[in-house]
Amino acid sequence: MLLNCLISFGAIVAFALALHLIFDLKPAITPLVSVAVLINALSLMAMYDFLKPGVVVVWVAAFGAFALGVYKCRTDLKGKLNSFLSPGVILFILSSLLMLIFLAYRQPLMSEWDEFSFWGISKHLMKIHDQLYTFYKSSMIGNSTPPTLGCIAYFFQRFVPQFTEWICFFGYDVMFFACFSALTAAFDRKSWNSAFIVYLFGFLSPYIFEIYTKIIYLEPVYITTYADVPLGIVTAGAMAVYFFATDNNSRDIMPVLPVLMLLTLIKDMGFALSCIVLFIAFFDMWVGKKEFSFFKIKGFFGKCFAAAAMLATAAGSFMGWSLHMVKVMNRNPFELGGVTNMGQVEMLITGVKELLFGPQSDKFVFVKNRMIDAFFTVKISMLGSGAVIFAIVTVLFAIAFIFGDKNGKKRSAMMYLTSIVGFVGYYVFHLFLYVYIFKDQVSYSLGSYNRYIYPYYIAWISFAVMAVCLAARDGKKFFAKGTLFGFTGAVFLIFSIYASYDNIFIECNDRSFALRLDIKEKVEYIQDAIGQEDVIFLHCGGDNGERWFVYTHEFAGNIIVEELAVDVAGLDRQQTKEKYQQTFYERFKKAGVTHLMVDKTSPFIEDYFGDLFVDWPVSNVGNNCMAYYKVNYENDWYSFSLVKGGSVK
Amino acid sequence: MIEKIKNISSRRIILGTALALVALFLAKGAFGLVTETVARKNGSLEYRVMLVQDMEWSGIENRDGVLITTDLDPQLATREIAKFSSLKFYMEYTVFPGEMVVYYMEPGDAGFSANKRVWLTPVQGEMGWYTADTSMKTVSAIRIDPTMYAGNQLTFGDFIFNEEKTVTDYFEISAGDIFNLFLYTGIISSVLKFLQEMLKKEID
Repeated sequence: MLLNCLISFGAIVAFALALHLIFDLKPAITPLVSVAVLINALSLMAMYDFLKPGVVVVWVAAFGAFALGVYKCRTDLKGKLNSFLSPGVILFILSSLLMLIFLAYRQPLMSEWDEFSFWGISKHLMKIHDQLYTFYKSSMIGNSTPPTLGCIAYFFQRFVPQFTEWICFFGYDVMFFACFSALTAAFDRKSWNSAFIVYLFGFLSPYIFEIYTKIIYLEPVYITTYADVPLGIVTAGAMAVYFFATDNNSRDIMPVLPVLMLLTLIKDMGFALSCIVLFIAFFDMWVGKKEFSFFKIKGFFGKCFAAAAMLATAAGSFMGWSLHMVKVMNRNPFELGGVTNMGQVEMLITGVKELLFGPQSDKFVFVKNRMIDAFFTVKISMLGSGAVIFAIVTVLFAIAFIFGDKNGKKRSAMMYLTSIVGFVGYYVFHLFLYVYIFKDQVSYSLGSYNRYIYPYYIAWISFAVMAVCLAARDGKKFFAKGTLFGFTGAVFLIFSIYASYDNIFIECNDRSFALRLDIKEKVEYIQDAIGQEDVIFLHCGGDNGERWFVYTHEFAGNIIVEELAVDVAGLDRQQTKEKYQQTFYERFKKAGVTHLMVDKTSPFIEDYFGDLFVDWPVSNVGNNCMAYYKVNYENDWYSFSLVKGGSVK
Repeated sequence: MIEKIKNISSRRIILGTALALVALFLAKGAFGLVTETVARKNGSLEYRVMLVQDMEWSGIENRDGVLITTDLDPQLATREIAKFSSLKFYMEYTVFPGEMVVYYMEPGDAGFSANKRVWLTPVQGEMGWYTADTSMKTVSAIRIDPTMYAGNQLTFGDFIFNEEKTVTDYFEISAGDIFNLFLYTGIISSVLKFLQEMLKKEID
């Protein structure tokens, strides 16, 4: 288990070193570029159903590049290796290994709702099938989500016998740490203390937006498979790879491209964030890189070509995934669905027209006003509302402007302005999603507002820190460095007041996994009764859906999703029962259901299906019990006979 | 002297900081061990087990034997503890509790304050048990805020005050301690290096 993790991690480090040896890339950015190149390559192979051998191909390619780099620099290998070990790289390697030891020792579990509907189960299914989740039908919701996070989890456990949840967290964390390393790229080894402080800021940045009160249990920033934190951190990482580059030519742009591809393929919103990164980078080149040339094309056109290359990468990645969905799933990727059943382009055109030229519907006005209000009033971070974050970002950019050198002043000012434009675009895009795509219940209450918006805030505050780093490198070092130390110190202090990381990160208490542990006990009890080909329909009485989702995760390969709703309006009790039994019979037959699993009985199953249980009444399945029934199809009807059942504890 | 400080290498700063932190950890453990051992011997630090019925409640109602929180700040308090070094108790709940805090009032204090509180943490490997450890304090009252939500149905077991510790308990190293060692070594040595840079006028 550890060996697979170590080889994959070794491949990332070896390829990072190769990038430094062969292309002379700035050391601190190499871990992120390495992660991006290797995981993008694996994702591409996964799209062509080449996932299983793909890991070995990536390993061979990474270590092959390493060997090539060593051969190329054989005369000055020691010197090159010495320069590679910049503070960012050392911190990346050290924190990754520490995290590996901690996760392997503590073995935390997934614990958040959507990990069982998509983010976790997708990785489980990829491990079971050794294929991307687009290639088979499953109980997973949202199998159109892009592949990189699944691939990074698979990359670290290809040869592990069983799906292991903590390895998924490790994969994510390696990617995060690579981004934090990129944030330190302004500083060489002599300025290791500034690099450490910036790295610490990177580490704390997601917590700023995850913790609002001092809580006793786990806030799983580094032990979750959600995609929101990765979106924010990789956006910051992509910007850092570009921003700290100093060659003034295509070498400033080329390393950004794989990172933009990685970002685009994290989640649909990654494409929007990639576009914002390239938008900011384009204007930055405009004011801050006068002599910039892109493959010998100088001046304005060189910058346009550079931006076009970034756009082509982001759009190409997005289109590539879309074509994959068309080919494999026969699904129109531009169809967003939702309440208005709009396509993406249609949504944008309709939204812009309604926003700028009206008339605006009541729903549009209501949601727009709520979102404006939310910016000022909703506590989105431990530091305060979105407006407070904006104020902090403004102060940091102002400091970068005041203490930066002449070029740094221009770059900071332009980055500030373009990042505001980026934020407005991102915010308006979410307005359109709330109005046109999400259900009314979600729209009117701005459901999951914080989670949707904070990726940009994570990136935005990191952009501001990058501008201060630039001033600390090129401008009035004392004040800019002092700001970095002071700001990170303040964030750390507030973090320490809000969060005792003994609970939220290091200890990750068993109570957080109580539901998982309870279900695991039942799973262990019933597991030997389940055949590999069994198709299971699951019933969890008295559940709000959470237990059901956890079971679908545990039995990812077997459990199917079946619609539960049956229209029984106007029917009497007997007619209702007959309608339910008939409808479910048809659905079971159609889906090929072979078994019924009952986690706990309920009045619903007892009243409407009770007489179908031939040898062990479903009413026996109380608390701490479990039952597994075979579905017998005879004479165009069905019944349930017990395979295994009884008390678990 | 200043010249010597200016010439300390980064490696020495980092190593020195780490060693100082380890020494501080050991000193803290030794201090706790000595003071608590003496206090136990002279009887001022007393091991005590209490039940929820032995405490004063507010914001909690007993409805047919079931304890239910009725506001956002339910509290349990006792004035029967004179010296306080640790608390461990068992609790089950129906609603996620949010913040869990122990406040202590020292003699002469007008009331409980945010400056005098210890955050409760779950005990690893002992589901339902919560603990708060602090350096030994003379107290006039202790207040436990077990949840920050109303409508929470709570079931309590024993409240164990000042549980006796073994010598190794005072020097026990948790994953959090290791994390702290790296974190604080990095932060403190970075700040020291920054100060050294100022002394050397390496930064303007």
